[in-house]
Amino acid sequence: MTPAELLKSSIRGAWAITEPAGRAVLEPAGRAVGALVPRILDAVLDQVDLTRLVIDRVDLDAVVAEVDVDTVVARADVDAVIARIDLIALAGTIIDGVDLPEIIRDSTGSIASEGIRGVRMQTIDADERVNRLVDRVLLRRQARATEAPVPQPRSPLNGDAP
Amino acid sequence: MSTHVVDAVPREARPYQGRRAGVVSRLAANTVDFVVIALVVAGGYFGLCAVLFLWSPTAFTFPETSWTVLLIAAGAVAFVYLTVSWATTGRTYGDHLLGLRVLNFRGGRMQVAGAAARAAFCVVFPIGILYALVSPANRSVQDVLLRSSVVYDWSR
Repeated sequence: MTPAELLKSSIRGAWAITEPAGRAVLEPAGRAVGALVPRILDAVLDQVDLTRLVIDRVDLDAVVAEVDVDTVVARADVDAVIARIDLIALAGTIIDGVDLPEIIRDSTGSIASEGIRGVRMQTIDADERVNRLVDRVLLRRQARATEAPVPQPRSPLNGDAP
Repeated sequence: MSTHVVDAVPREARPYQGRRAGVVSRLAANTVDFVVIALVVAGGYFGLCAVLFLWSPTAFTFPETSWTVLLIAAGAVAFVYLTVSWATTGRTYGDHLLGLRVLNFRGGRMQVAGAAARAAFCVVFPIGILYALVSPANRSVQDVLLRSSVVYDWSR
């Protein structure tokens, strides 16, 4: 037997003796580590502000630049989004914002109707001035109660006229 | 879904919409109505002249009318004009030009009887409108007694 063969057979003999003992130790240790690591990780993550960490350490612009927005939008259910929006209210807000009635008046109104509008506003202004003057002369402190009754909707039960 | 009503009234007039009008607007509307009534009475007079001329051209002379007859005729025209205007559209031509409307105590259009009573009252006692000058609610004597209101209304 050569020295090399002697060494080889010695290692095999030693492995045959130590392997069962090694298995008996390492397997429970592996299971213990497997159960312990998630707990340790959770505890560590609880101590770390991950959001802050990402904001500080990650180049989010670069990440977002890599995202294919078209693909994301293509997968989105736009109809479902639209169904959740009150389109009538939205249209009303837009019409109020751009003052659509005013645009229509500007495009279709005549010089005469503009003149009438001016006269109406001037008389309203004159009404207000005269009221204020008279109220001051009469030492009246309360503002005039100019709210007129509002027509009530017709009742289907008694048929009252509005 | 909510319903949204587009307001056709100009933005600057919206704060006044539906509020009782002051005496200046009302007098301006009455002035326009006075002109309308005067034109109708004058038209009636010239219409009568035309009939008389066609009936007897050689003997035609312009008929003389007393102030009493003229006032009665103008009063009758005014009564009919105001009654029909307030009972149908709620506004005379003067009210239309000045953006006013006459409402009953419910805030609706006046019935024929109410419109006729108000018209008669306005013809007999026109100075009653001046009470709107001092009224704490911008109401004339006619408005107080008949519970009517004259409001700014720029809607058509």
